[in-house]
Amino acid sequence: MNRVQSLLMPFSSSRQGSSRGLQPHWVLLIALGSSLLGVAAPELRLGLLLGLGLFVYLWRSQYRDGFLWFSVFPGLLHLLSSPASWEQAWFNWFQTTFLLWIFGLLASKFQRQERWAVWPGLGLLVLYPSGLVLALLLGLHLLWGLMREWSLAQSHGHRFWWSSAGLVALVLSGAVLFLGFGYLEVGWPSPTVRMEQNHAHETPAATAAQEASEASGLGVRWVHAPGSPLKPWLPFLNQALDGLQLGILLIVALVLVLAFWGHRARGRSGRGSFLLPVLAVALTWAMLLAGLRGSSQWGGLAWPGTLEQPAASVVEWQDRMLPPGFIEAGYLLAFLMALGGFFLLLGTLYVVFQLRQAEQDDLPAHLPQHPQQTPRTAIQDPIREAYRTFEQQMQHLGWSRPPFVSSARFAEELAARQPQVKAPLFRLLELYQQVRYGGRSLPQHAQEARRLAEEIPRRFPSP
Amino acid sequence: MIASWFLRIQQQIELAIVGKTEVVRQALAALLAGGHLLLEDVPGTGKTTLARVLARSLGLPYRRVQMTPDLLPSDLTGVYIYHNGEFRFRPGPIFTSVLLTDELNRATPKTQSALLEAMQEGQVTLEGQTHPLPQPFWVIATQNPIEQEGTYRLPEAQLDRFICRLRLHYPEPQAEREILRRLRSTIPEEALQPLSSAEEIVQLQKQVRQIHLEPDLEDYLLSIVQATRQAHQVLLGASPRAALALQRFAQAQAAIAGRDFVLPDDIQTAVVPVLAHRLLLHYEARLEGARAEQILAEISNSIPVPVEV
Repeated sequence: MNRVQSLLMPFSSSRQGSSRGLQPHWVLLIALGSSLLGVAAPELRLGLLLGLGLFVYLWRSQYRDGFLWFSVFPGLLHLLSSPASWEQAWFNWFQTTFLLWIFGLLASKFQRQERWAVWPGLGLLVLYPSGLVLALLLGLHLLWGLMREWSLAQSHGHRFWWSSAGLVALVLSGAVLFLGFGYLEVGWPSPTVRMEQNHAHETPAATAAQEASEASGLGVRWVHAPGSPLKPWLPFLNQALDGLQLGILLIVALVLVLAFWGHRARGRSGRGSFLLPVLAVALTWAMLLAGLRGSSQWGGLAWPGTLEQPAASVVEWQDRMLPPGFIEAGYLLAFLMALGGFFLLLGTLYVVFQLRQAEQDDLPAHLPQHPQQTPRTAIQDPIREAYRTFEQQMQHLGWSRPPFVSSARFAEELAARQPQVKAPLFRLLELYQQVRYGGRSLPQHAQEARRLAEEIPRRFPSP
Repeated sequence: MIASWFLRIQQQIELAIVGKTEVVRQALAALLAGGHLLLEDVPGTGKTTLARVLARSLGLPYRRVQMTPDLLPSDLTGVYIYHNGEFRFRPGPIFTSVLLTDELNRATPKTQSALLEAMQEGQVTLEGQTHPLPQPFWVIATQNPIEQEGTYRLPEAQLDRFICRLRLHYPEPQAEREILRRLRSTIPEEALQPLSSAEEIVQLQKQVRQIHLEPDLEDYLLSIVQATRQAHQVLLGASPRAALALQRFAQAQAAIAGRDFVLPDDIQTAVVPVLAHRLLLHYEARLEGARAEQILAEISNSIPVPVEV
């Protein structure tokens, strides 16, 4: 192992032998740090504090394929925040949900080495200050990927592993990212101003009117810089946003109906359930667009003018009656309860899995029982992940591989059933075998493997 | 390189041996793995012919010894003779590259034991003097599993020295017809040319040892070996030497297939030829008709292959 790899080792997951520990440790640390930074935004800190770390953990270690589901839950905790009205909480909910979703999606794409996915992450910058934190996260992902690629290249005796296109993408991403930071500095309130205004909100000496106007923080975060070139276009933009919102909802409804009827026609109506996260995400988008609608009298695109301000009397009452730290203790209790429920769910799943496994391992009595089950290795390679996805999809179609059958034999059996998939199937198998058993890393073929893994199951009829 | 070498040899051997592609492949895998080969089947199935054809195609020095009950160890290893006032060593037929010991189980245990050191360590010790054997040194032994009269069952220690045991079986009807036609007027063996050399084979054997084996597959291989020791029909399971043989044979099969890494399939297809002759079954299991091949197949079908899950 060379020096670079040994340096990276504490920050990357173990190569094999662990079903957990898939998450690079530094991501968790950064998630924690960003959560702490979220303290700067009172109306967001609960979602960030509880959501981001938990979300990253869930996404990477327990629920890789369905992580988007979880993005809708942490935001619900905003209902517990001090302006305890749904009108205030929903806006924070969709913003937190959106942030978590977009971060998960982009990080996931980047993990699969689709580096173009970094670019849309720049849009996170508009969600200041949370977007700034998440954009930093994304930038660190980029850096980590760069170091990993470099160490891979060293171990393979190359100077650099990335293609020239990858290098160009890297440079452009960095340049645009810095441009984005520059825009942030010029056109939006600086972090210092933001902190001061939050501080003013938390000072008891502030007037009730100031508290009312700043309690949610929306007036600060979404105020557009004076003299914005967008101002003359606001009415038109709001009309367009209305149309977009309606269009998205219609499309989602149409897709759901089509998917439902399509799967029902095949006798498997439950299979459309994967669209539910899509619905959640689409609704999040719609609500975001709704939030962006605003009255120009507030000077910005984003002020939800139709919403009511929190009642000053409620804020005053809370400040006077509740002892310091009481609300935070409530948050902690809620978090612990949620965490307990989560582990209870995991435990139940584990027990169910063990019971099912025991049924599968019910071998004939004359055979020896082997303490060692199928080795579960950490899947870090996109080609291995693609093959795993392929097997899962084939299993959904009713073509599952028995545990004692090798991937090559499984492929031969599939090819015998569907001769037209033989060439792509054997190509996927070749890539997989080289990575899985040959100890190679073939990042340049990751895209091809993913394409094959998605294409081959489509050529098989549903059962 | 190994794959092209194999194809070259195989194509020539198939001129003289019909319908035994898999056996030829496994025999050459045994050679590349550096192990000795035991051919077992009823008389007339082509065991001796296969050994002769292999030796001739490989271009290696070849000796054949017909094992009989009165054969002495010194008839194999050689003797010291007194000549002109000094003892001089006269090497026996064992000093060759390919040694065909025909009907090995007809030799007495004493003579069979003379092969142990040579097969394991590639040397012969006589009168306190150690004589290295040429490289490569490859023993191809044949035995008839049916005939019991006048034979001596090979001891487990001897069987363990063979990396694999292959059965030739009777040819398919079409292949048997082809044999009749080919041998009607010609002797294909005479047309065989040496296509390799001792140096090349030693080099290839070194390359085989470099074939990559993933740690997961090590676990898989060891699970199979350990399962043979736990199966209740088995009195004596596979030894650590058997595990080494299984690994080396799988590596050789991977190399022949043109790969530089081992697949689970290489291990699965090696299990029966490498392990079956090493298992000693309980008396009750044999009475019930259990066979080592069947037990090994069941073991293979009970151990999960390391694939993504």
